[in-house]
This record gives sequence, C-alpha cells and structure tokens, in this order.
Amino acid sequence: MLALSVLLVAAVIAVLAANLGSQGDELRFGYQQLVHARVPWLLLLPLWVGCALGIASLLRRRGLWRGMLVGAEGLLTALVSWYFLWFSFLPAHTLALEVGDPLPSYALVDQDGVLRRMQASTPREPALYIFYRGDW
Amino acid sequence: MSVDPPEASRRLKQRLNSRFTFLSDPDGVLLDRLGIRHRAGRPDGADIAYPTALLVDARGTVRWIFQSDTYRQRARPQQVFQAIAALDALPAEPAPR
Repeated sequence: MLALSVLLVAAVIAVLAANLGSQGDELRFGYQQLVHARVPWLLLLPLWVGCALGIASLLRRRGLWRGMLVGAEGLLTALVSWYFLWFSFLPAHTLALEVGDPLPSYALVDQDGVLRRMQASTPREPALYIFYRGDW
Repeated sequence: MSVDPPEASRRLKQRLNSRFTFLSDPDGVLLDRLGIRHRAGRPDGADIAYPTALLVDARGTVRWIFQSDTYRQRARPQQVFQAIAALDALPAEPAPR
C-alpha cells in the first residue's frame, strides 16, 4: 500500500516538474491539464488518493521512516492543492467590454519600439489579441 | 500584449521564435479601457494584465472573448480556431452611414 502511495504521489510530482518552464509544448504529458483545465482534477485526484493510501498505510503500521515519508507526501499534496485550488485563482473583476463592442483605440509600441496605432471601428486585418501577465 | 517594456517583449519573442507582434502597454492604458488591470498582480507588486484573449474582426469589433478565473488556464487551440472559423462565417455587415 505504501509503495502504491509513493508511486502515485511521485508520478504526479514528476509530471509537474516535467512541465515546469514549459514553453507551450502541447504534446508534453500533463500539459493539457495544467494549461487548459480550470482545475486539473486528473492530477489532483491521483495525488489525493496516493496521500490517503499513505496515511492508511501509516495507521496500519507505524514507524519513523514511514511517518517521515507519509509526512512528506502530505506536505507536497497540501502545497500542490493550495496552488491549484486557491493561489492560482484571480480576484473577481469585470471586463469593460463584451462581444459586439468595438476594440478601444490604442497607440502602443511593439517589441522593436515601433509605434502601432489603431483607431476604434476602423477597417483592419482581423486579429487575435492575447493579453498575458508578462515574462518574469 | 503585456506591460513588459519593448526590450523584454523582444527577448520573449526571440525565445519563443514567434511571428506575433508583441505590444507593450507599460502604463496599462489599454488594460484600463478593457477593465483587465490586475493591480499588484506581479510578485514585485506591479500591475499586470488579467489573462485575456480577444478576437477582433475587420471592422474592429470584438467577436470572441476568452477569460478564466485562474491565471493558469488558457484557451484551447481548437477554441481559437473555432472562433476564427465563426468569424469567416459571419455575414457581411452593412457599411456605417
């Protein structure tokens, strides 16, 4: 039971570590869950099951090393759960436009310092605007 | 589009080997017009954008919006392609008088 517990927790942590710093590799295992799922249940559930098995194993047979191992599993499970269920959620806010509204005018510089102007409701090439948090 | 300065955007564009245009809005002017300024959202306390995707048609009208309540979640590529396909399927609007 303890071996299965360690296997489950380690597998989930390995998937998280493998995706850390990923630059958009859609084919990497777990990426879809991490980037496209609102809550990555397919990663959280095995983690919780693994942690529960560890606790059950500890209740059946106590021991210092067993206790430390299950404690580490519990800590990792708590941290990952906290991140996915609380930390990564954003404060509530209200978007100032909706579908059918014109995109407001802007005059902003691009990556080369070239000023790009766009007036609202003027003909243009259709475009996808992606607002991202930044690169840090 | 982000609040990053052009130099940071240039580095990111090179790193991603991207063909997109990266616009800088360091003062968050457009973010305020759209209501997507996330105050103190960056670890150093600076304001950043709430992750948002907008599809704008040839008349400058917003035709599709994607937002999530978690900063991890992004639109799936097929969602974006469907929105673009729907854009093409829209009947032409009458010219403004």
